[in-house]
Amino acid sequence: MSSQGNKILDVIVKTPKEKQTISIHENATILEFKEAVSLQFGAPVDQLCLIFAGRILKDSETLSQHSIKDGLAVHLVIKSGTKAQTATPSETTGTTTQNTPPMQQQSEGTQQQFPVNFGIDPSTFQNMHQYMQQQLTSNPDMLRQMMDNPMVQSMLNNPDLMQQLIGSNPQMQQLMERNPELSHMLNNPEMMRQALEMARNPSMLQEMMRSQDRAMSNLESIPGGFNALRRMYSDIQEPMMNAAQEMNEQMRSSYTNPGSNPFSSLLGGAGTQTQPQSQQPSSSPSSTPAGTSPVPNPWENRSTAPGSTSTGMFQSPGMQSMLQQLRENPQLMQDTLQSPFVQNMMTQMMNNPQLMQQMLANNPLFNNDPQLSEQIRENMPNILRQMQNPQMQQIISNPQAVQAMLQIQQGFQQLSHAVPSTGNTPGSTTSTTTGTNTTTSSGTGSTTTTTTSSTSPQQQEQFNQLMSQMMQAMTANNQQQQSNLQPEVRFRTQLEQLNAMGFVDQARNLQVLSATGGDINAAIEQLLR
Amino acid sequence: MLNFNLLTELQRKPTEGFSAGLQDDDIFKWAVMIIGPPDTPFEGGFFKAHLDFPRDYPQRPPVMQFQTKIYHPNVDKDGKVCISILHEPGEDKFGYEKSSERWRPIHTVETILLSVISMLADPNDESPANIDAAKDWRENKEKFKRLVAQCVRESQTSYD
Repeated sequence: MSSQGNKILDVIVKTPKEKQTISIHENATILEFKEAVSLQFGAPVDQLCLIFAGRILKDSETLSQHSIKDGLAVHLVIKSGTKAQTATPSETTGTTTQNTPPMQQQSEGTQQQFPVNFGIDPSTFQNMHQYMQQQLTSNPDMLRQMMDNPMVQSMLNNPDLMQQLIGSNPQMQQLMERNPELSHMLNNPEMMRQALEMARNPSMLQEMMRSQDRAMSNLESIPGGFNALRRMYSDIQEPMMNAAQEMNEQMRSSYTNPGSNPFSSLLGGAGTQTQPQSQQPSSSPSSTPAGTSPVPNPWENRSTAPGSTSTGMFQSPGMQSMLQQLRENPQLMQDTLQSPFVQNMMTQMMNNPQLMQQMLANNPLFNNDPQLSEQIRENMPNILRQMQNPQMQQIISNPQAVQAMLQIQQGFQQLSHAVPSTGNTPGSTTSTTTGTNTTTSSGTGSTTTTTTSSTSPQQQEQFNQLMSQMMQAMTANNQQQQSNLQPEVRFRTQLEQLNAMGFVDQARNLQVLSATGGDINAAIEQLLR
Repeated sequence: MLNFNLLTELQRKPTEGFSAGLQDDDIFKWAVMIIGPPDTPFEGGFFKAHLDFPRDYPQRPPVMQFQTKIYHPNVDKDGKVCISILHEPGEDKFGYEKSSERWRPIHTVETILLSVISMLADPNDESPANIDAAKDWRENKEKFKRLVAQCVRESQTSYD
């Protein structure tokens, strides 16, 4: 190109970080331009890459060829020598490509080994924890499943318990002291609930993360924003991490050494009179895997220290409100009853009437009504005997059985109402009580009949009332849950599956699922018909 | 001409991360260069793409197609970019996207390219166009990074 009419252009050169204006004559080649840029940006020519109008400018070309005019902007990317190694993984990966497969195999191998290693080496617990975290973060479904577990949900829905858990971590406490806002946040149940809700909803979480990233980068570009971020990080995030790690370590040490169980505060420091685990009933298939994992089991560790009762545990606000929730949610009750460690606890309670009494005294269901609790206490041995029967346990955990019992019970009540004259005679009283007791125990009918008939009729009457109240409460909840409590909830997993298969008509899916009782295969057949 | 105003605007005050121009003299055919966003596996790469605008733009979205090979869950094997805002307006028959997430006439080349850049940084593996890439991104990050690095390297050499 000739150099006639050497008009000087002011070209804006822009990198992600800075912007400079470079004056150059309009017929300059790109190489000449690059040399000018090189001077201004202090980077060697061969590391410069200029982009204009969607094209990379080549050294041999000229500015006019690309019609780069006065006041236009050119993008500059500096393939900096030092940064290139870290930033552009291209060169390094080129050589490591051959090395990667074996490394991958190794990492996959360790992952596969994990389940085998459980419980062998204490350090595996930490590994497992990390592994779990990895899994959870990379697998939102798993997180959601975990969050949807009724037991976990009830725990999370319970602000008292959460606060206790958080508060029991010394590092977390320190952090909260230093940052009142944070403690305010953690103590705000509504906030916690929102956060947890968020965690349960993967798309919401993703959305939040994304917008947060955006916000962060916006913040970073504000003058001083970066420093503020860094401060925030060192003030909050690091201590938070430390606290979490501390907790991990505690967990781990409690895993190897049951003496320092983080749950010990829950147990009020006084050991429960628990029995060795060998007494765990062999009945009931475990629906929750909780008892099978090596996570420290808060119920089984305090196996020593006989003679003392665990007031602390049942009086702690966390436990109280948990019991309350148990009462309100029969599904949860069922799940809990079927989980192995609760079974274990039940046996322990049966073998230990004192503990049971203690529990009843602290149970909000009963301690509002001293008469009731008195009744219960007197009848405790009988109840316990009934409870001991595995059949009985199965019956309690079977909503249909409970419902059937209630029906029988109601029948007897009706009978006594319809024929009130018979109600006054001692003979009929016994007959009704016998009836009701048979209903409550079913399998152990014969034993209860004899025991109850030996008590005074008045007591029996009260006991009956108590039993029927309990039963009513249970079935009322059950019915509500079984029928009214939205089929959306009951068939949620199936609905999701159907949705994933492309059946998007929610209403129709629900209808079909209700008709098939949740059998997804049958549902699909119907949908395809 | 909406498009042309934008082009001159972009050439005077360029937006971070990409550069845009015309392929030839046709205002409906754009050439863009996306600079691999920093702190992503795509850092250091120069990804060339074509934007083909329909005649009734902006009523309908342009088609964006990478000319440089790029391994990404939301870019199909032909280089076509599949992100919700480039999808024809209206309701999604599969129920994946809301109409508000799809093409709307208020979008510009700038918003499209910013979306594409954020897509590079944060792939959406829920409705992938390249199943292999989505699978690797989700399950085998190392392999994903390795294959992306290969693309980055190729993108550098093809222009030098």
